[in-house]
Amino acid sequence: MTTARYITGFTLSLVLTALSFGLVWLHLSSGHSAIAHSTLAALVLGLAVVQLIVQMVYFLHLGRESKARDMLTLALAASLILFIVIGSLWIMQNLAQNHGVPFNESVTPQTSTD
Amino acid sequence: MQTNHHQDRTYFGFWLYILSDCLLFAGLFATYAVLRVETAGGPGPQELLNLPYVFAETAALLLSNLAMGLALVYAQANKKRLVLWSLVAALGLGLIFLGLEAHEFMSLIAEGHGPQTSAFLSSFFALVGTHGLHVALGSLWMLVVMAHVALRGVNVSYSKLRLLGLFWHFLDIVWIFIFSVVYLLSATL
Repeated sequence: MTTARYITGFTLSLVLTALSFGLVWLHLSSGHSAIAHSTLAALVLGLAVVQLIVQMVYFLHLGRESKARDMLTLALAASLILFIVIGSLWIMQNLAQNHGVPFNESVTPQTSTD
Repeated sequence: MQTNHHQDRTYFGFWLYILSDCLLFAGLFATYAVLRVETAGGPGPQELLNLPYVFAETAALLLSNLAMGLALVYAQANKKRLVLWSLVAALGLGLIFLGLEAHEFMSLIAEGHGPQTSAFLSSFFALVGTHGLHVALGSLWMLVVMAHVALRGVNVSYSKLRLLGLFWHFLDIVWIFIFSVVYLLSATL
């Protein structure tokens, strides 16, 4: 733990945050035309994950010297988080697509009316 | 080194608490992600985006985390006064963050967009509010640790300071995903 380490982590985080906000600002000020929605979503999420790693390394000091039990429990929590978030979205999207459609008719795609 | 071993176990126990708290936030994030389109005729996430405002909140929390990190560095060097001043800065910036968030919540509720308006707003208030509650309790804890450092000295309170630092950094990591997912991503759809 040194001052330089924290300042590096802080500066990197600030730059990554500014990049995210800048991309969204560019998108909004160009009337949603400068960047495609899917690209923007991938970029903002990607920048968030990079900043997560930066803060884990520079603020929480996770790295090669970390104890195996810390990293193992972290990996377990990370996989549970992914299951909860991706699983919920997956199931609920499926449900929304078939909303109001009886099971035996759900094979044919329906055009949504609402 | 009986105490060292004991502190090590305390740190690991607290680490497990942090990870289980991550699961709480994962549930709230999943709920938000599913419900963010269910606005029931009320305002959608687009209405929540005020880029400079959210950036100010983010900057306050990030600066607070830098101050917390410096407090830990100074604690290792046994510089009591610098530890206390860093904690004052971390607490002040944390309170600025809380003030900004409280103001945002109050104006939403005053405009009739409270948590009962729609499923989207319920999940928004639940997720952002739970994070805010964590910051508020962390601030209270910081006051207690500051008193401990002032009265008992850095050496005695170092292990407490380390746990508080872990908690504070964890809250900033959760905030990365709140500003990215709740504010930036939802508001551009």
